[in-house]
Amino acid sequence: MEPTAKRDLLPGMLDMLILKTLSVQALHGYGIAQHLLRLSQDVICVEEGSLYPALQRMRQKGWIKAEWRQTPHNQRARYYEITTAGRRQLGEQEDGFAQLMAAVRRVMRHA
Amino acid sequence: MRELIARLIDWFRRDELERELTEELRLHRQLLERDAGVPPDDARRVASRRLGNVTRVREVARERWSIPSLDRLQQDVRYALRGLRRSPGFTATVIITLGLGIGANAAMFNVVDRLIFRPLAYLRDPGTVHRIYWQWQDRETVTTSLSGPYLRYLDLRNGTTSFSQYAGFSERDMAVGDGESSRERRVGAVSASFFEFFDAKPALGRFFVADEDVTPRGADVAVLSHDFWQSEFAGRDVRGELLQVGNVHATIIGVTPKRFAGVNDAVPPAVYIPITTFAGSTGTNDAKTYFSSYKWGWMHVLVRRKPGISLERAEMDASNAWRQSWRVAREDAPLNVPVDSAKPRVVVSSVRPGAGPDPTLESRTALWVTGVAAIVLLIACANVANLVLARALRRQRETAVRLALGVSQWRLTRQALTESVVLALVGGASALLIAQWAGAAISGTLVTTTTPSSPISDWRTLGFTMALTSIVGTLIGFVPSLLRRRGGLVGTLRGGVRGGMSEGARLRTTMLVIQGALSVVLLVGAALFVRSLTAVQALRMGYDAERVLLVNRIVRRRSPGDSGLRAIRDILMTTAQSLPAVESAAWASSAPFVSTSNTALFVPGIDSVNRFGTFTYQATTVDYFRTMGTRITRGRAFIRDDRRGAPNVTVVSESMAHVLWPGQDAIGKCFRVFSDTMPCFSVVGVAEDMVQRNITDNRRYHYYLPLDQFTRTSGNWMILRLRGDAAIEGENIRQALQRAMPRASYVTVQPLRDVVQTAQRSWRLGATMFVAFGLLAVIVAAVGLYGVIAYNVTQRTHELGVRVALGARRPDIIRLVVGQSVRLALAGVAVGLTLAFVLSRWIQPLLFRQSATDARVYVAVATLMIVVALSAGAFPGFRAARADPNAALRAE
Repeated sequence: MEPTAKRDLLPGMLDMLILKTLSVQALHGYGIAQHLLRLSQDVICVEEGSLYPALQRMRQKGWIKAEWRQTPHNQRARYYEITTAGRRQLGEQEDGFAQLMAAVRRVMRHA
Repeated sequence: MRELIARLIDWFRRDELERELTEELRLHRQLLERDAGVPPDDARRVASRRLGNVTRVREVARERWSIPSLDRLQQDVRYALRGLRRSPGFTATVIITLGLGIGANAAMFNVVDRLIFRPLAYLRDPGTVHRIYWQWQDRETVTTSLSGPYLRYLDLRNGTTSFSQYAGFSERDMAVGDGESSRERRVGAVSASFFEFFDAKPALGRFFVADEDVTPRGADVAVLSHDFWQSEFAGRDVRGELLQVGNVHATIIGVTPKRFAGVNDAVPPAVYIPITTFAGSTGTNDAKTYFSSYKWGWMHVLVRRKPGISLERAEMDASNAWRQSWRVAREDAPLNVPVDSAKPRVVVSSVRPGAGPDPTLESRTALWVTGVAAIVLLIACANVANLVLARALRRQRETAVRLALGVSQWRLTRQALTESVVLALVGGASALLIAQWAGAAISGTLVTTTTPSSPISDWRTLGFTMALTSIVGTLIGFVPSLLRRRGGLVGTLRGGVRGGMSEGARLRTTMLVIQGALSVVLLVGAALFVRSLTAVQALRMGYDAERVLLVNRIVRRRSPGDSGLRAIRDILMTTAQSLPAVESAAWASSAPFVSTSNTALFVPGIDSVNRFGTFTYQATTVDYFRTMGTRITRGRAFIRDDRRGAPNVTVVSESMAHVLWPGQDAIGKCFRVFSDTMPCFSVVGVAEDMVQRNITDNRRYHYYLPLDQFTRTSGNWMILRLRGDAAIEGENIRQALQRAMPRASYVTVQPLRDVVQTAQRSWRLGATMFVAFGLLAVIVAAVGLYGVIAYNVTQRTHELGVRVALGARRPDIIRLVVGQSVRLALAGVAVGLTLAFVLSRWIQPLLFRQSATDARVYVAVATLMIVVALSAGAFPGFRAARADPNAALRAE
């Protein structure tokens, strides 16, 4: 199946998804994209044009850190890891997202 | 904030980040191809599509690690460096000029800061801590003194309410250590309360307690300085060990923290002992009377003002206490001036005497030299501004074209600013090197300090240099924009090479005149100081310092008594006279510039001799006048028969004879010393005046007594006239004499020439610095003048060509060019001489027998400047005259 056409993510949501992914394990850029694709059942296809700039930005903010390592297939890849500041940020974003979703749901139910 | 730092770090490694991103994207693409699971060709297509626009990815990512303002700054710096590389002559001149200008100031700041401004290490709340300065009047002259008797200190402590803390202190060079290892070291005799002024915790042990600082004599305890502890005791636990300090056999109880220097960081004490321990152990009569008599003025006072008490109130309070103390002291010594005419006044001022009410000649000279350094910097700035302006003029068409192409004014200004800041920074760096080198020379001549200071490792000087550098860089950077504001863009573009010249001309002429004027001021200063130094050196000191060696004999432990001292004296004398290098030898109670003595003097027929000033005496032996090279102008010198039991005799100085017995023959007159019940000393000879302590004071009242007839002091000084150079022979003689001394005692030697040169050093410093800076200023100004004239000639090539074509002869052309140079110089001379005349009032006190408005000096300087202007104009003039008019006219 062809992946769904690009759906716009809400602002800040990509950061949250990446952080959530990295909170489980350290991954390289391709791994993150694949992880999101698989878990979202091919709905969330992160365009690389957004992924890598987002990673740079988050690294500068100190939420994640990058490190060159070998992949299981012995290729050199840059692995991203979540930091303590990143986990704090993730918690805040999750709370905010939950509130937002609840609000959206309430609106959709009653409108 | 954190993000900003991260971005800044990324900015510096952006090339590396770019490479990493490329590699990351390549891997991403590879993995996509592998996972697509289709034939390679198709896979690549699919992957390419899914990866999207790689270039865009990079661009977006790159934004994350670029900082636009930094990028532009980098661009400007590169542009500036390129421009500067293209004109190496300009660049080198500017850097050297700024380096000298800023370097001179950095070096002087370092000196003045240490003399006057720098806060003392560990001093708690420095704004409330003061030194006491005692000021009183003796007829016309106001005397300021730092030291006073112990009793006056007690009177101040008991009679004032404005201060919360009091401490007495006195610093002396004393022998510290035993036998071979003993050395002269600075010893701080301090009250127990002294350390309470500081927030200093002992590095080891403790400081003095009040019980250890009591009259008549404090406890035999010592606190070591950190440096001394490290160098002599390797930092081991020295508590309880014994250390010989002067006459005190002291137990070490503590060590000061690192960098602690009390109130004197120029010459920090190596050891501290309680002040009463020092006073009670001097081995003289003073040890028994210092706490009951006002006669011995020897200690300084430190106070802390209570919060809320103003300086004026504190001074009034302290002055009242001193007036009371003066009345009591007068009962002790009735000869003193009564309190109403002495008007004693206490000045509560800076802990550093350099910033006190009566700064030393050193600190005054240092301030002057700082002013000179500032003028040099001004000249340097004017010169650099001129060079920058000339450069901007040359580039005027380029600038106009860039403006026409839409480059903003602000951008141009910023580029000029970047260029000048880059120049200033390089200049500042070379300035530090110059300051480092000059600083050593300056502290060598100006300040006697045991801790040589390096400007590069001193953050205060570094900060000052940085600040100065940025100010200079910024000011110079705005110069070209002065020019741009006026010139019309279209006019410049249309005007060709000759266009727009007049705008900068007036500005640059002004700069030249200022430069010339400042150089004139410095040259006048240089000439005055050199003449003053010559006068000081030509001054007949009343002795011939060449080949004279001063030997100081220091006896320690228990005083050997009068007969013991005489025995040591005889042994040393015999030893000295047996040495082949020694021509003649004498014992003396004092030595010029090192120590002088005075005592009460009673002259029949005169109520109070004190109203004439201070009379100093020298108790000495037979060969004294021959050894010193002092001439006897009337009567005779001492002879061997002038010994105890024989009639008391004395020799007086010419000034003393003149002031005591004006118009009469001094020979045969007589006076008493020490007390009016002593037998009379009758004058048998008159000696030429001798400079004892103060070179500038003309009142050289001095008298000589045979040591044997005057027993109050036994004479600590042996004066030797050598056959060879005192500096070379000194150490051999010291060793020979040392071998003859009893164990615990020792001798130190010092060539008299060194002592005299030290006394002359402020004049020497003034002369050296003014000459160095004056020459520097003239060279800088001459280069500036030459540059401008040469530049004008190139600009006027066309005009001069026309003139030649119309029949002007070579001399006319030369006269035209040189005339311009001379006119500029004359304007500078006029302004400069006026300035020098105005300033002369302040420089006069620093000069020795030299008028600050000496017409000969003024004329000489003016002539020199005109000669410089002639030479600066001559070269471009000849070049202009030789130029081929055809070439000049055809050029456009």
